[in-house]
Amino acid sequence: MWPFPRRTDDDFHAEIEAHLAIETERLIAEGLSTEDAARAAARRFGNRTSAQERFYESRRILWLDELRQDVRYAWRALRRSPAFASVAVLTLALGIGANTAIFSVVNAVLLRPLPYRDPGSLILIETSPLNRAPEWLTSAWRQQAKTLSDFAGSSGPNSQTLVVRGEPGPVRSALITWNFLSVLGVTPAAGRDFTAADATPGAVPVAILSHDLWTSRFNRDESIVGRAVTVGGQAITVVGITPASFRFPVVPPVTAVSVPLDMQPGVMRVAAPTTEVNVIGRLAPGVTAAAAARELLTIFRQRGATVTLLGESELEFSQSDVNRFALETGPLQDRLAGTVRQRLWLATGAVAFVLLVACANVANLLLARASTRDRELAVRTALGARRGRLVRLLLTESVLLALIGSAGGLAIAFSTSGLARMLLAERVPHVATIALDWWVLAFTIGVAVVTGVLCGLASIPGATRIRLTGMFTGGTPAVTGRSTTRRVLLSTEVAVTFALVVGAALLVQTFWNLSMKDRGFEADRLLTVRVAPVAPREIQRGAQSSLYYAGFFGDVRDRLQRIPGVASAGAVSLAPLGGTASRLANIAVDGEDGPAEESSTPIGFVTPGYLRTMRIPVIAGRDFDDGDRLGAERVVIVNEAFQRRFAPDRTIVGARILSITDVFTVVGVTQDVPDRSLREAPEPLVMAPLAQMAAGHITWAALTFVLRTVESDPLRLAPAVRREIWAIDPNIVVAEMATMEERVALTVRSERDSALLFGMFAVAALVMAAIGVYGVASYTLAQRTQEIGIRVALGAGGAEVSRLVMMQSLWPTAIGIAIGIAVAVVATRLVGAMVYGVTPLDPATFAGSAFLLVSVAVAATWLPARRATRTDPLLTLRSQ
Amino acid sequence: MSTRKEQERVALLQGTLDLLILRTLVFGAQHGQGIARAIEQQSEDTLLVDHGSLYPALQRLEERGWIDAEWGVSENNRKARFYELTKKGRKQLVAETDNWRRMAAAIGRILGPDEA
Repeated sequence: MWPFPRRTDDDFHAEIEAHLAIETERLIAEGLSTEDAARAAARRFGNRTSAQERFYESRRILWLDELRQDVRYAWRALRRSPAFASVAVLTLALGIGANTAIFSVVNAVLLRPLPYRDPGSLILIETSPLNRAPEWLTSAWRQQAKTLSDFAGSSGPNSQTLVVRGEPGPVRSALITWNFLSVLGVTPAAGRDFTAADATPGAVPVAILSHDLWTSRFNRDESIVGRAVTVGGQAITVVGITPASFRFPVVPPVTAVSVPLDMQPGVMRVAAPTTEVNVIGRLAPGVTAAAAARELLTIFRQRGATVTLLGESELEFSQSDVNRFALETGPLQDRLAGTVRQRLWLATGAVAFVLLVACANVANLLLARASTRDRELAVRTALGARRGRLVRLLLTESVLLALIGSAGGLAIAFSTSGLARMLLAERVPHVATIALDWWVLAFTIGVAVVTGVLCGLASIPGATRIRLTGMFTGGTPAVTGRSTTRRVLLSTEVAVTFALVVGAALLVQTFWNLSMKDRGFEADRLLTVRVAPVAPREIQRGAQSSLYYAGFFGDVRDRLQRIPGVASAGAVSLAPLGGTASRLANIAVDGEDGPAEESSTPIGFVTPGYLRTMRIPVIAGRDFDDGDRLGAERVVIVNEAFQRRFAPDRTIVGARILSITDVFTVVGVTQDVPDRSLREAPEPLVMAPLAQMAAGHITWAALTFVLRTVESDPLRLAPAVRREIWAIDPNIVVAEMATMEERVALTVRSERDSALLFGMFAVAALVMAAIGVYGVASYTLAQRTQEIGIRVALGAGGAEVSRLVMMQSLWPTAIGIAIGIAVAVVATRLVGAMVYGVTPLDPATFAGSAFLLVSVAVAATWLPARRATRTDPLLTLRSQ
Repeated sequence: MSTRKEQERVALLQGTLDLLILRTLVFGAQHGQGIARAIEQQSEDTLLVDHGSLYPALQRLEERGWIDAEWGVSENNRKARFYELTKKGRKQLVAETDNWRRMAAAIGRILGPDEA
């Protein structure tokens, strides 16, 4: 009926005028005077306004009118019971708000297109370890690949020092290929993009500044474009500024300066141990990411590489034993979402559960309310309301509730979207802000309508099957099926809550276990900072380099130790929980080969005082001292894992370690310290004095300094540390200033976030379940007042009566927990990979969660049960 | 519910008028005044068409897709809105006529041969 072109009132009016004119003419023809004819025609027509009104009425749609009626009626009904309405709206707001908040993150990470030109055709090719990806492979892609229309690469972030008007400050830089921005379809906000000429050898070094850096360090001064800035001791000309909205797709968000990657080598020294290059490819029209991966594979095979397929999008290449690396590829958006995707789906599942609990709860409330409205519904039925119309009225009410709830939900989601992003997608670089856009709004309204209909439907049994006779002869409402529905709803609620509580308990334990784990050193009162010197280029890799670095870092250490408030200081090339290092290949201890499989052992270089500052116990032998210098015997200290692996049944102190290039004598053994994450057992590790470092080991140019401070807040020394180091040279890189506690917290960050998120969901579900249990108990009491009155009159004691009321909701709770155990057994499989120090089916966790739910249920039934014991038999019996 | 009963009563009247309008249009396109006149003449002035109700009824039929309308010029050279039966309307007319005949016969049987 809708798609008719609307007829205007004017058109209708004109038609009536035409009618009157024709009628008047006819009457004139019959012999009336003009005046009389016009009057007669008008009389004959009757009330013109009424006709016009009826025309207007006819254009309206009947169901819309009825809907308006229903909505008005529902609104009035809700206003008449504000307590019910506010509890229901609040419950729904929580449930819907949680879903909206999580969806806003899902939308931003997985659904909303990336903010680049034609983002669907961008793929990401990641190789690791990336510094080993041989040059010939990348050039092979460029020459041969037909599935890709364009390539661009980026690398970083690298910590650098930017000197502006003599003031040094830390920045993070990215190296990008000259075409990087144009492949993404991004145009600089000011100045120009890089060109191919910028990337030719001998060109003037150029950089593009991020909008953030331009704002924070240059006050948005446009005249900076064309001028040179000093980064890492080198003058680099600024040619452009990125748009304010631009975020690097792969590199984390704080990136500030970008320099053409193709200008390698040596334009910008890198303060990280590896230079990882991520390649972004643009697919040729009509080509899928999978087809591109297949083509890359073929190209590599043609070039004689051995290719092993590790997974659908993951390949391992080896050209020789040394040149071995893995490659992963896939659509850019998928790859960026990475591991966040799994957590997002898990959170989505959890909030769906929360909404289910909210829904069951509101359905229960609606049912309870329906029992007080039986009379009203009966009257409506008696007056001829059809069943369908009653159902519609009830549904209108629950949908209205859900829509009001969704407004609250949007408010909740809006105020928590930052939290949701922090907990779920902090590491997804392109998700800078999570907007509540039209999709999120549509999702929220959709969820609200579905929720409203579901709640409403669940509350209908009985409501429309009223036996009128019972109703009007007085007495208890003659409604069947309702209490069963209530108990089923309650059991569902409890089962889902139980599963959520178990999940949250597992994740909280995981976080707790990791946080409490012995780290092998004392993390409090430790300040850490990464320092890299500005070495003249000829020294960087030369024979003199080890002497230069040892001298430089020794100088820094002396200065830092003199700062008041510093108890001791040391430095290490491989910080605990810090990641990659240089490695010794295939070592042998005392002439005996290690375990048969090919091995490489990480080697870290330390200054004297490092182990003492960290308070890493030396359990055998000695610590390094100033006597361990160049020319003296080359010594190392190993960790317990090393001893277990290479010399399980003898003392290792005094043993000699041989690698392809070096011979060392072991002088000490330290306790194990976790090297990458607290989850993994530490690898065997060799530590050598920095002073004895051979030039071949310098694959890095930065050390991490650790300072044990006297004061409890180590960060208060940060300005003094920067001042002291920049006093040597303002171009020295001073980066990643943080307390050791912060670094440790960072490694358990995702565990903390998951525990927090699921904990909140579980608490929300618990509160709702408690309301549900309370509701059923109160309802039972209201329904059976008469019976209880009789029982009391016949001599039933208080305990008996309260048991009667409590059992009505404790039974469904027990059944709910039984079902919940089954649900949890299946659901905890999803978190299986995330838990640590506890098994997903941990009996104690299950038992504890069950106990918690039973306690909550008992507490929730306590009030109604007490009210029941105070039943006055006379009053209840008389009321009949 | 009082509103419903009102609607039903109105519906009955409208139904009759609707049928007569459709029937009149079988002979070709006609404007509102012409339709009213035709009904009156054919019923030998027994039926009096309420002109005020006629136009909302026409509007309703048009919305249901039983008739089409177009502005045109009357025999006296006056602008008027002309209505025409659609295919759907023709079908509706057959069904409605059938219904009406059966109902009239049934009512006739109940009332008996002699009254009136």
